[in-house]
Amino acid sequence: MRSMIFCANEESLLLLGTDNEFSMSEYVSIVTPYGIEASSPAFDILQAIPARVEFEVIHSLEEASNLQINKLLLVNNEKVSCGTYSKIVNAYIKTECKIYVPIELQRKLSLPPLENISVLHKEDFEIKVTGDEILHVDIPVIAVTGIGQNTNKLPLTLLIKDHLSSLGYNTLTLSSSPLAELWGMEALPNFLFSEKSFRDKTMLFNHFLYSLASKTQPELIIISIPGGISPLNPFCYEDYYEMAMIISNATQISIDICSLYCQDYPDEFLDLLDDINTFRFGCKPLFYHSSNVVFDLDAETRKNEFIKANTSKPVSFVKDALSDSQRDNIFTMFDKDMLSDALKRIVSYLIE
Amino acid sequence: MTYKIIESPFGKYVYSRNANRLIKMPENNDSQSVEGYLSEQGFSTRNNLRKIRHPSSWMIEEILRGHVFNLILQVTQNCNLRCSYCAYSGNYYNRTHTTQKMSYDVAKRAVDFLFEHSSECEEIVIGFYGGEPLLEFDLVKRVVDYADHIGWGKNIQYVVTTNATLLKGEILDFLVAHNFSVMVSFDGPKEVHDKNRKFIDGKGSFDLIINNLELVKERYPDFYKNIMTNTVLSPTEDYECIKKFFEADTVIHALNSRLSLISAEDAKEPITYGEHLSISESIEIVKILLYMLGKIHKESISKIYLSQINMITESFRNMDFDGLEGKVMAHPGGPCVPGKKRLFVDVNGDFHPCEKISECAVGRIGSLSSGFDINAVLKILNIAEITEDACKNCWAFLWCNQCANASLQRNKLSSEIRLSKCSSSKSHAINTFKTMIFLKEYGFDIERWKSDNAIDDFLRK
Repeated sequence: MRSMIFCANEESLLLLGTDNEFSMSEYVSIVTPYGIEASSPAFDILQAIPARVEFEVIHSLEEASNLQINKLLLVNNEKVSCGTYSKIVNAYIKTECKIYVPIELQRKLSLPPLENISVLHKEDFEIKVTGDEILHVDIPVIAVTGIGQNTNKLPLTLLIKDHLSSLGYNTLTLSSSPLAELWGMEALPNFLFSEKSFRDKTMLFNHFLYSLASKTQPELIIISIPGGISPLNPFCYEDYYEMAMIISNATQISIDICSLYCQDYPDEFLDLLDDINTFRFGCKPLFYHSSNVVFDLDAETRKNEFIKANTSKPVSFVKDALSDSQRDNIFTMFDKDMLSDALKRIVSYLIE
Repeated sequence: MTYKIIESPFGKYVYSRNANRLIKMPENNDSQSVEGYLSEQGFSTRNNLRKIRHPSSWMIEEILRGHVFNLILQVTQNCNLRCSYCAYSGNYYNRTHTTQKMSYDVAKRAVDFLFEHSSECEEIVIGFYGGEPLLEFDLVKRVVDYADHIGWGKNIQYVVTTNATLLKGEILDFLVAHNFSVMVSFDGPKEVHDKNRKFIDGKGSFDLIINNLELVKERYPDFYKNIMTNTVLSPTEDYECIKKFFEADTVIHALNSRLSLISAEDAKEPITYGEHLSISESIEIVKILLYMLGKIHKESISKIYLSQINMITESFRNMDFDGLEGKVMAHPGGPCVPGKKRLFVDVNGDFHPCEKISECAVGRIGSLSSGFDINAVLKILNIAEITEDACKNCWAFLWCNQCANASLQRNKLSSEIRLSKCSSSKSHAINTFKTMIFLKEYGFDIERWKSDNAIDDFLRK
């Protein structure tokens, strides 16, 4: 049967190439705003995680409302009106189609609690913290961090998770993606994004992770840490690595894979990042990953801009870095050999 | 030279391009010890620049692939006015009024191109330009309807630059319904406006425009408040008279205004402004400085100069950017990324970086049929390559305000023309620095100003 992803973005396109309900469909219709095609920058990520299901791209809302589908994913896009979403929902709500909707969108559309509507990331864990003790989570933790936001952390996390699962490891993976559940991942709890104090968030997350690990008994924990590890824009307040600090204070990080923007990687730069990570998070990255995203600062608006580079560029930058330096701990997912080698070495490190 | 000494009534300052900072010198320093003093303070004077290259060059294809957000459609080259200073008046090379207009097919393909190349942008702008774009209102309507139909998932802002002679009736209703941003060309009191802005039969356009604006104010007061006027100052005008008009007139008073001078780029005859403009301007700048120091109220400042406040605060903010210390490759300030910030599509479907650059072969950066010409884009983006040696050694590198338009001379990018504008660019930088020094010496605190004033909101009050 056919599935549909409505308002598809780069994150939701990862469903096409990874294990989940949507990639098991016979065919997937990707509904995007006009102008976004299979050749557009958002689809570049499929060069690292190729689609394993046939798909088509649709722009017309009329066409999107008249398909035979049994699964529908609504992706939250603030520029799309509630009326547009409602039109699509109304076309399928009375059919046997299962509709997946992130909780923010469900609230915006006031969707009723029907059997065929599955709300993603709806739970807010009730965690009771007594005392001041940080509980020891005796399971290796792999952290996927980024120098900033939009550094391919989610696809990198999925690649690591899938590789470890294929080797038979029972993994618990946490991510802030609203679609986390679709990949069998746990969503990072809402309190991490609330106004609670740093201390409260650290204690709560420690107890949350301990509780979750006790329940699921994983052999490995993978955490995709949202945000960055360093401020990038002197003109605009950013999160200044708060999330990374909370998580690394709440649990010991065994392995850090730090994803970078696509650029040159001189040794001095990576040495400095080694120090930043060690000092702030108690863990020097085992690997650096080159994403296909270039960070730019618009001189006029002074706002961050993220530009998707041609996927040959991270490969080229990494190859230059490897040939010019003593380092061998930098790779990119856009080169299969580099990716395979990095994943093998992660596993070797875990075994040691 | 990587630094420039600025003499001021408060003593000597030196601007260091390596640090991008103004540094106050101790008294009794001669030019020999400037370098020594800077070095002592931790500021290098070494010139490391080896190559002129814009930092966006290496990813220009990717930028133009998904980050084009502002499309300007030249829907017609015709106009119902014959303003004497217009770029299409025949007084400029490469442009003149014609009856050519854009077909719907070309306009539709341009909109498609925008959507295909703005996939990474959540907000886009579609602007209508001319000649007088409202002469092609039917085309404007069709384009807006088409863009609205395909444009779910994006915020589209529509913009029109108009002489306002047709701003009424169905046209006005349509612009209001689609929340257009409107820029009206308007030069001041009747005797000034009608001198240059006339209909083809020679009659002035002031009365009709004021009448139209009055009706807009009456019918759509909220829409009216967001209209901007662009006032072109001619060399021979009475600027005091124009200033008073903008304060006093009941129709124009409520609108936001900005000033322009007649462009000298590629003009057939030189355009020279006399001393009386600079005197008039200087008086307003002094008032602005006194206002920024809290000495006078903002009502004392002519509203047509209020935008200067933003420019002054921007100059402080520009000092927040890194200098050239250690950089071997950079490009002077001035050019924007052609096609990204603005993509001007002429009636034939050819691409240009903006509406200011002459519609000539050297300014062409592609077309609807062939897409972006990356080599042409890079040539415009890296315009300073034609004056590489001069630019590499120029202290005003980071404050240069010259883009490719300033280098154009009859279908060619000319290094001589570009270099001839250097002294003006440098004077502008020095004046900016002197303004900043003045404010600083009198206790102006930019951080407190930023927190006390939302600049955009302020200008709209």
